[in-house]
Amino acid sequence: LAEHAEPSLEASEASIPAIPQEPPERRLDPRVIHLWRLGILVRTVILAPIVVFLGRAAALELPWMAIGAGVVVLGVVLAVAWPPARYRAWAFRMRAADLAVRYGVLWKTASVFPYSRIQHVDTQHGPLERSLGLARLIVYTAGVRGADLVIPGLAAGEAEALREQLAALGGGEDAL
Amino acid sequence: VTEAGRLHPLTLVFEALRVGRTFLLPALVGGASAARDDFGRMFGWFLAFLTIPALIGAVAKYVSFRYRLNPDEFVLDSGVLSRSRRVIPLSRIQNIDLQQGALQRLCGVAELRVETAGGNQTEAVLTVLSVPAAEALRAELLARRRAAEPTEIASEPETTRLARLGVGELALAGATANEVGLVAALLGGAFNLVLQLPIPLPEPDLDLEPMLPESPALALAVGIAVLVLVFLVLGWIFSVVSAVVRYYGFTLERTEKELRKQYGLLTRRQAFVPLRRIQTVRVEESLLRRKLERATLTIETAGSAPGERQRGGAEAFVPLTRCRDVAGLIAALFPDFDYDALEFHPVHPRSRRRGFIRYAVPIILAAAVLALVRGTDWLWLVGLLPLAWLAAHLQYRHRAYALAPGYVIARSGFLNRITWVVPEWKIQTLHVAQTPFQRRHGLASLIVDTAAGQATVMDLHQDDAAALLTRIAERVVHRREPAVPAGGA
Repeated sequence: LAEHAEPSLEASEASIPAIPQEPPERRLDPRVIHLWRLGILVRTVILAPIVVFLGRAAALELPWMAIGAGVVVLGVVLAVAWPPARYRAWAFRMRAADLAVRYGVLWKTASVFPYSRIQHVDTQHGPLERSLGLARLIVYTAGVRGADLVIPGLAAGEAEALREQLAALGGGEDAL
Repeated sequence: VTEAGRLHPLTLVFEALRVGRTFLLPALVGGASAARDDFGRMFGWFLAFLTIPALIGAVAKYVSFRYRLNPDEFVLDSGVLSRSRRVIPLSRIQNIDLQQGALQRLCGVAELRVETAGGNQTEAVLTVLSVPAAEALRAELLARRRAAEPTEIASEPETTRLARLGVGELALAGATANEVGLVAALLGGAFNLVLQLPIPLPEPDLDLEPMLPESPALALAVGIAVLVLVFLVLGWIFSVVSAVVRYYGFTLERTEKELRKQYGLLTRRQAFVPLRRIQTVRVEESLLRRKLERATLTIETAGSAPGERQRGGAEAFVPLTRCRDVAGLIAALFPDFDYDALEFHPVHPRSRRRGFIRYAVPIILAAAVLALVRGTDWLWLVGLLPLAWLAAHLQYRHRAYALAPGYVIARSGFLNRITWVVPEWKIQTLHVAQTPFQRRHGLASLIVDTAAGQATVMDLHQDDAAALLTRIAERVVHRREPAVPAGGA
């Protein structure tokens, strides 16, 4: 193996413009923070009684009420801290030839979805999202990992517009 | 529009056999103990229970399956509860194969397989038809396809032979194969047997007798060791024989548009892979095979076939080849690619430290817990730490990546080293992923995703990973599949 070295540029690439003028990063709609927060709280409210009930049913001598209360406290702390961090981590960028996204607070991911590889694009919204005026954008490729990119919490109108835009840019050719 | 055709009634038998074969190995293991203990019996019942829906499925398939040949399409109907219809435009049919296993040959029936070109169209499998019916259907399909697409006729395409394996090479392939599952199954059966024998194994006529001490425990241990050895050897011989039987007479040819593989002693198999469906090529070199300068080549196709034969779209391309022939074989698929000229770059050295931590933490935790619970004797586990370091080091040394014009190459693994060759025009998406543990070391992984699996370069420096992502992304966008995918080999 060669020593750790900077990969050398091949001659053929000299013609490719160095770095295209990047459009600015776009962010999710801030209302998605409420959506995520609500999601965590709902799950906490469901989970805490289940823990207490199962714990008691298993007849283990532990302070189950206190543990249930702990679950609630943990849920509340998460609901306060997690959504803003997740919101800050989420961004996407419509570049010249691909859609670049980054997300994840602890497990971070940056991905590139070339427009030419997009199979189709969907928007979806559940009841909760609809009540907040939000929608999800789902981008499908033929890949295996992250084959479908989900951009959560976009304003409904923006999601529609993005879908039209991406659908027009993508597909067309047999990407396999 | 012709009348609808049905499968041969023997379909029932062959489907039942196929189900039986799926459960045969576990059934044998369970069967070894079935007579004596409850667990074995339960296991047997469990298997029987699993078999029932499969058998019902077989009957349903036979009863409901219909095929029809329309002027320009081949229509397949199946399903009892949820009916499904597959329509294959005749112009898209690439190959029509007949396949006959030994038993099928005896019964005068055959399997007809229809392969379609391009995209992720699933090929149709008709199991089984009577031989005359299958041949008639094939002739009819071919005739109509020719009518549908007059340009495709005549002129047998020029073929190049790429590889041919003799019995010696095949035996070597079997001898060096990792039949871990099989060995484990055999070992499990052996263990079960031994535990149930009322008398320790070594018989009086074995030479071991004089060596046997009075202690029955030791005798039992010796017995187990002997049995284990016997089963290991048997498993190994089985592996050799099965490789020879399975791949007997292996030849690989390449025509203008596809790979053609033929092999098999009892069941003669012909497989065709359209070149443009190839997503990635994998070079697999286990430690043992590296010493013998041999490698296995695997191609991954975008087979979305939910069906039987294709395991995740991966297919052995050449079961065993000399390392020095690898470059030539890959060049037969990707003419502008030179495997031998690759310049591999190592991942970041901190990968080693991270690997060590990942192995060391469970060891230290186990040692601490066991020492507290069971006594300080268990602290000997800490002695495994140098081994953890060695493992991490070897793992780091075998992680690498390379870039060639038009291709991305990722390599990893010490015990079984795998090198992925990914053509840029097959790349679907690119990712840089970072776990919290990688972030502590400033590392990240690059993931190159295709329609048939992903190649991962673990533990690059995070800046290198980001730079590679950008760089490959630009190349992916500008890269198109070579207009004329291939010249001669």
